[in-house]
Amino acid sequence: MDLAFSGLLTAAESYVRQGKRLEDVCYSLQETTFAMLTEVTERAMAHTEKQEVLLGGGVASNKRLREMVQTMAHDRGASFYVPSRDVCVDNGAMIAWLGFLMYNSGVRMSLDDSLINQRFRTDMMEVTWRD
Amino acid sequence: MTNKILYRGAEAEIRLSKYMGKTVIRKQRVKKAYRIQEIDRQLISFRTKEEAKLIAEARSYGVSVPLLYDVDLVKGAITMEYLDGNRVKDILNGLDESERKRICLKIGESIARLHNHDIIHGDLTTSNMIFLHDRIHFIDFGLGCKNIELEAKGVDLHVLMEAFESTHSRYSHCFEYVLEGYTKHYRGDGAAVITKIEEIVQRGRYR
Repeated sequence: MDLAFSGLLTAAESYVRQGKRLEDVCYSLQETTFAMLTEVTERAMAHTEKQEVLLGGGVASNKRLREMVQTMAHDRGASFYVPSRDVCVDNGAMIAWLGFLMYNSGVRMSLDDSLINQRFRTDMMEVTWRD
Repeated sequence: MTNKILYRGAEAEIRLSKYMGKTVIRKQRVKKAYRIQEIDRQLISFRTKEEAKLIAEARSYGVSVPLLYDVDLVKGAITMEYLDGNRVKDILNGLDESERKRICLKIGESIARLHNHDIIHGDLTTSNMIFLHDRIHFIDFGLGCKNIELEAKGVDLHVLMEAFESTHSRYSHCFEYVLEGYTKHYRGDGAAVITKIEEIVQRGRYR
């Protein structure tokens, strides 16, 4: 489920250098990348037969992305969830909430064993706090 | 006319329909309200055309695919043969080992036939293969394309490998039979494709 946007970004930068209006390039870039994210999310929902979608992370505070994923969920008869915008950019809140869930499911870790790993991905996490 | 929805995928609805008295499948791509409408119309038309072209081309290279009856680029609909068989996904785990091996070799052979002509299926999973009349029929070329690059062929097979690991985890070794069938019939450098798959597996993210 990893998406790479480096090609699109290079193309967008080149349009700006050619003198295209910045707001037009930004609008196109946003519509294209978010449509890709929404399409991939919909494919994942169809493949896994899920009826719920939750947006998270900093990008989830973007109104257009919220609108697109919500529209997609609505058209599939699925439920759409997103946290309030102030917590979407609050990494401390996200980490604390995950820690809370892990602690309540019995996970224990000493402070010395905890560390920051920016390469760690959500799909590498063993989920122990739900069945 | 029954027009019963058999399956609702991410981008299309699959219906049973009638065409000149025959029971057929009608794959209808549906409008996406989240996308800019002009782009959506172009995408639907382009993908419908590409898919129909790939199905027709695959057939000409001896790969079993549904027969095409009609393609409507404006409506984004393909009318094709109804294959009343079993999805390989649903039967593979229940077969005995020798039969499972035979099926997997056939799968590999068909993929090689596609790749020999640079056809990338794009969504090789066992749910996109229908077993009927002792043949493996490939369906859903909706994510397919033509691509001569080794990378594209490697990715194509890697998707199937992951499908074997998730859906047929007890029999994930059977992907080796797929590769055996593939290398036997692939006219390019089969070993290079396998090396590419290993490279894709190893390829970390954020490096």
